[in-house]
Amino acid sequence: MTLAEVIIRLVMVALAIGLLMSIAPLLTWGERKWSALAQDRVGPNRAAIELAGKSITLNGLLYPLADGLKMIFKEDFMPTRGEKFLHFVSPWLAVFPALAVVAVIPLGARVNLFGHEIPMQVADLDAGILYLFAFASLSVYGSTLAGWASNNKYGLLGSLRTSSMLISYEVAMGLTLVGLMMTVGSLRLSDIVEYQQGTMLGFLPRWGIFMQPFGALLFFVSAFAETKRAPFDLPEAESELVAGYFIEYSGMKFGMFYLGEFVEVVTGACLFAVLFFGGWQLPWASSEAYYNPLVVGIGGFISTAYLVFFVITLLGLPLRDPRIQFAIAAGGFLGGAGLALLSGAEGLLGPKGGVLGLILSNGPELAKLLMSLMVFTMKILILCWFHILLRWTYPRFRYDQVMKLGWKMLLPAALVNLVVTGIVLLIIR
Amino acid sequence: MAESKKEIKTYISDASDDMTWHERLYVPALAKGFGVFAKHFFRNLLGDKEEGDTGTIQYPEQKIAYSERWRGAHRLTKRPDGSTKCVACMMCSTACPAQCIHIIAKEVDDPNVEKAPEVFVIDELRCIFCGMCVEACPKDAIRMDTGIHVPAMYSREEAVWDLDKLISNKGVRGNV
Repeated sequence: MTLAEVIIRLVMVALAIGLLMSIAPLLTWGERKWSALAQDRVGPNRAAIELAGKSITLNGLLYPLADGLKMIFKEDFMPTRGEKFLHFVSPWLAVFPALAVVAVIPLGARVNLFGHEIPMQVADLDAGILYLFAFASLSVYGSTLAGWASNNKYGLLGSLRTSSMLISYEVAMGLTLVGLMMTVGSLRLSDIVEYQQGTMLGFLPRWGIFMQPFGALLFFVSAFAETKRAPFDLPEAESELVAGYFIEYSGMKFGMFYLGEFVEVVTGACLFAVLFFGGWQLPWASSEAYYNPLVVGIGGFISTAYLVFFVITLLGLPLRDPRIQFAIAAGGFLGGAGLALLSGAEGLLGPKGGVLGLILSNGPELAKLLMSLMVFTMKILILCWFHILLRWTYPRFRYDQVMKLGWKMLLPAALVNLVVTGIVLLIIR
Repeated sequence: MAESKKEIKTYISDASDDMTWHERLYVPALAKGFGVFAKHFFRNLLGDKEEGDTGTIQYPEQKIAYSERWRGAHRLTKRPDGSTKCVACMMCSTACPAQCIHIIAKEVDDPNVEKAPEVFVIDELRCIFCGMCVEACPKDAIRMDTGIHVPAMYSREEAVWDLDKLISNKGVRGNV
């Protein structure tokens, strides 16, 4: 491994962790603000920084910051007769697997930049999906040991529920993906994304959700259960078990469970985007379309406009205001035009020397890189939003209902999906 | 044996026993519920902030205007010369169901004024803010139009407001 490769890997690690760690705290804000919008409330808007006599609230965006400060300085409570070591370790066990999952996720297209091949993922494993399942199973330990180490009945009940629920749903989750693996013929996640380009049946994007609609639904439900959030929040079930497995946790240890939950939401969205929404692929287009300046321009317009729109909703600016609408359109236009220019400039101007020439000759690859990253981020943000709104729509299952759903509905349905997929594949090929 | 089995079944039976098959699918109902939720989300996100559905009032900055009839802490009205209009007739303390008004009358030199209060105290902790003292007063001497919520105090003695305190209270709509 040369030095350049090591540097590329390190940058990828920083990018993957940076993406997770910037979206996850945003989601703690998003969860409270978006649920407030859907429930006709205002939501948090009081945390403020006093600056030059004006208090700046940024539409409640300072709450993650205030929460972090609070958790760091809170007392780190430790139950007297608990297992000290396990009590200390289990928050890390809850966060680490959730973070590790993102290593195999392709965040963008593989590009060839300045003479180096850059895969936009930390590790392009042959057995990517198996790696995902391995780390998803590891995440059970964090919450199970947390309840065990707390010397608390509610904590123990919570951890029992966690272990039984997560293990049950892992079975279903694994089986739902077998259909997709059979269709694509690979466990490597970059292969799965590459496969999802172009169209199928003439009018649908060849995305996993259209190839395996039933499998996608089943996978979404079981992946939802893996995040341990409502309607599957039996392990914490505040109305039954007070706080479940993290009842004896306070301060930053609690904060890590809380953060881990949101990291799981983001990695769940990443997974779903990669497996069923084509990852960084544009709908209907092949991955070669990333070299077409026109496609890059249109895609750049849509994704930049969406990202500007997202930032504007973050800041709570009024979307009815014509100036705001103009800002969204202008942002999208600038992004689209810039990317199209970057992609097509060398074709127009011809080869140039110097730094400009270097940038221009790498322009199409650079445009592809930026564009694919933006497309993937856009998909993640929409899926996270969907995930959070679902969590606020549905009430919690009863324990026997969760088990019934997992073993009596999801598992047989996944098997049926497997058989039907096999038959269809036999007929087609 | 069969009987006990039946008992268990009724114990764990749930609503799905008498549901039709498409109700058992749950997915259409779930989608419908999410649709309602998303409708509210987008109406509040894209709509005008003023016309939104949130009826929230940002309290310390925004306040609801009280109605004109709202009864706050008491005040005693004054004559042009600054003395109280009260003639110590005891009508208010008689009318008071909480018995929180205590008056001691005194003679005055002014031939137009029969009596005046020497002591006029209201225990604002005992007061139930019924307004019967205001209705009973023949001289329009006591009013509850100050717009004051009786504040929290550290001792019971502080809640007993005397003549000077009651006279110094201002009315919200003009100081008669």
